[in-house]
Amino acid sequence: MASNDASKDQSLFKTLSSVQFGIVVLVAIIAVSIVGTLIPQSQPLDFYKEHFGGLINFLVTVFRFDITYRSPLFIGLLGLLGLNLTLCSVINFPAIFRKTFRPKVTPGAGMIEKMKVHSVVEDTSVGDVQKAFAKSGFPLRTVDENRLFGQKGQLGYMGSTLVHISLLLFLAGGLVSLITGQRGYIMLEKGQSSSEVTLFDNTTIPLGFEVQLNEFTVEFYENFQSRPKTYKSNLTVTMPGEQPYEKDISVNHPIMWNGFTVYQSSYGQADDVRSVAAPGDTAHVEIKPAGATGDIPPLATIEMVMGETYTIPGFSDELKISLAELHLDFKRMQSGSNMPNPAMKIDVTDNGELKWSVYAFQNFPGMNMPMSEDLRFLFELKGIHKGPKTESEYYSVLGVVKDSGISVMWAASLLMMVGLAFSFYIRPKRVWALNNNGRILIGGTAKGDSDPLRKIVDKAIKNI
Amino acid sequence: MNQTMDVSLFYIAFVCYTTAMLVYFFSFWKKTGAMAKIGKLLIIAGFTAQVVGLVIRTYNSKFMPVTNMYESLNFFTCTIALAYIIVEQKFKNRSFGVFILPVIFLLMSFSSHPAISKEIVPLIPALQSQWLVWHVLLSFIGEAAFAVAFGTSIMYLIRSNSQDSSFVGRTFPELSTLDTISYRAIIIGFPIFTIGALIFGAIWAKFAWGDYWTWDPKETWALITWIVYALYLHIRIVHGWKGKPAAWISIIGFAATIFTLFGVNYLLSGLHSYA
Repeated sequence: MASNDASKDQSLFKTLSSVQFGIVVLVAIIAVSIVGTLIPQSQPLDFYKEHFGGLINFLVTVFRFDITYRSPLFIGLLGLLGLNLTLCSVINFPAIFRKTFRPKVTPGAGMIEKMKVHSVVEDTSVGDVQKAFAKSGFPLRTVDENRLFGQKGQLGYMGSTLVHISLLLFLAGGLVSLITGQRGYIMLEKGQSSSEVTLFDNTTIPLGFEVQLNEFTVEFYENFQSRPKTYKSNLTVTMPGEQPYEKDISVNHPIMWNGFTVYQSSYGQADDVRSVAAPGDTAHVEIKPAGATGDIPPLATIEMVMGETYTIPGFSDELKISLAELHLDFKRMQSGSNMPNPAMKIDVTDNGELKWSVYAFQNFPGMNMPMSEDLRFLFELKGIHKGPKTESEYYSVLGVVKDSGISVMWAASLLMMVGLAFSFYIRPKRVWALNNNGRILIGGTAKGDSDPLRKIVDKAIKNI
Repeated sequence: MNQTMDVSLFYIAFVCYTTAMLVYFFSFWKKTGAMAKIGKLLIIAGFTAQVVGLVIRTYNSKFMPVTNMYESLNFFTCTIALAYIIVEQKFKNRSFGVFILPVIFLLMSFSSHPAISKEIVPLIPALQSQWLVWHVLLSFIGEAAFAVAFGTSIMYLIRSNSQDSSFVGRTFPELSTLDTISYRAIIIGFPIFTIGALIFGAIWAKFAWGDYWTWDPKETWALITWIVYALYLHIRIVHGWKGKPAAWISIIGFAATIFTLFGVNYLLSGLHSYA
């Protein structure tokens, strides 16, 4: 039946725009969000098959909980929230607008008596009441010869509307980011240049300009050698058809070019992949009697760097040792393994003559190669301490983002802050006065707690 | 030597708050007013010690004390203590102390634990930002308000399950008062938390990492916390849902706040886990 359908539509409409529906959607969003923080995100689908049981696998394959916050389920819920916000804002806007900007200034006596704050004052006039209120800092204007009206903070009634619209803007901005946003990185060694960005899905897109890394500097804290204090890239930027110019990018100080935001994301050390130690690296060496087993304490412990010679305490000064080679990862012995194989080569000279050259391996203490019957020492490599790096060994990782949603987000943030301020910090207050046959009826309404308004009215009445 | 002075002051504050809590428990049970006065002085003493400690730490580290768990917890508990002092002053009922002080106590026990580093460690570049400062400061101020609402909501539930003639009925504030305090605390805390935790957090993230929101567990849980309090505010609009349901939601909201603060760091992992 036509009317049945119409009323069904109406009640659907009513439900979708209701606070209750909004609450249900928000609870669902909370639930889905929580699951998304418990299941590791963005892993290949096999990962979930391998590591988790049936339920999680099911959630991932059917509902895409591997990309929870981009999944159809989550986006659908956000869509429902957006619908709810839109409907309720549209439906309530006329009433809120009227309440804010078109208050009723001619309430009847009965209405005034029902107000939360109301008083009756005898033996006075509208004019005196007006003066008294003006004196108290809450001026009332003349509506007609029998009526006064005054208000403050009426914008406070618009607060929730503004907050809801800002939420819609946040949803819109998020959608724009999701659809058009591009995120990636550029890795540059000193002197290298690039005009492309590698996106996180491993495709590349052109920057539209070229950047070259001139210099990458990282400063560490004096007492905390492993904590970086600052790091920055000095770049030469060449825009098409323009003169190249220099620019520094450091953490928290990104630069925008051609719609891309380029920021100092992180850095790496080229020696992460090299196997030979750098000149500044130190080997922590223990010298034991030849044939010693693990628990025998060392005869001597020496920190050795390449290029220096050392004597062994307790032995002739003519017996000198030096660090001929130092490897972070000596590939020959463990061809199949991923473990690094730190190793060193020690040259032993006696009276200036090179007598022995032996290799020692950190992971294989108690063994020197080649074994020598007349060498009375066993050298053990206990560790390698890396020295401070020279600048040329770093590479810079620049993050790149292009996202048109960001300006929407800024607008949404501003609007949300304004809306919150209106909702919670601006307190609408309204006061009416009506001459009712010689008695002046005074009434007031306030959003939220009416005590402050009561105090204002009482204070003003005292002034009469 | 100066560096350990702030740590000493924080320990002193911890002792003051713990003693105050015990005094409040005792005085509440035995209904002695004098003891409660001592409790109040202890809270003020603890608060003062913390404020001085925070100032010293700021001076020594040349940065606001908000960049690691230890100093953040001290700032947080200091703010809760201030909020508590204000509530007690305004409503003149000492039963609040019985419910809010344990929150301070638990947070400070955690921060005083040896496993939590008390050193001033210089900031890595991502943390060297004014947005970070405001993000953390405002988040904690908002959360301190949530802590107050948490205490009064628990009191609401206990009170609503007690007879008027019972001990609870005679000593606790009125249900409507408890509900009002919870509500007012949340309307103070919610906008501050929104701006500090979410908006400023996103702005800082944008400058430090280029992306304003990455759905990492900390961000997501902060959003979850925000939604719970938004629910609190809206549930009051729905008829009959003011008292008990609202109290429950306020309690769940604070649980989410605590999970955002600790659970994420220690149970989950992500970009955020240096704090």
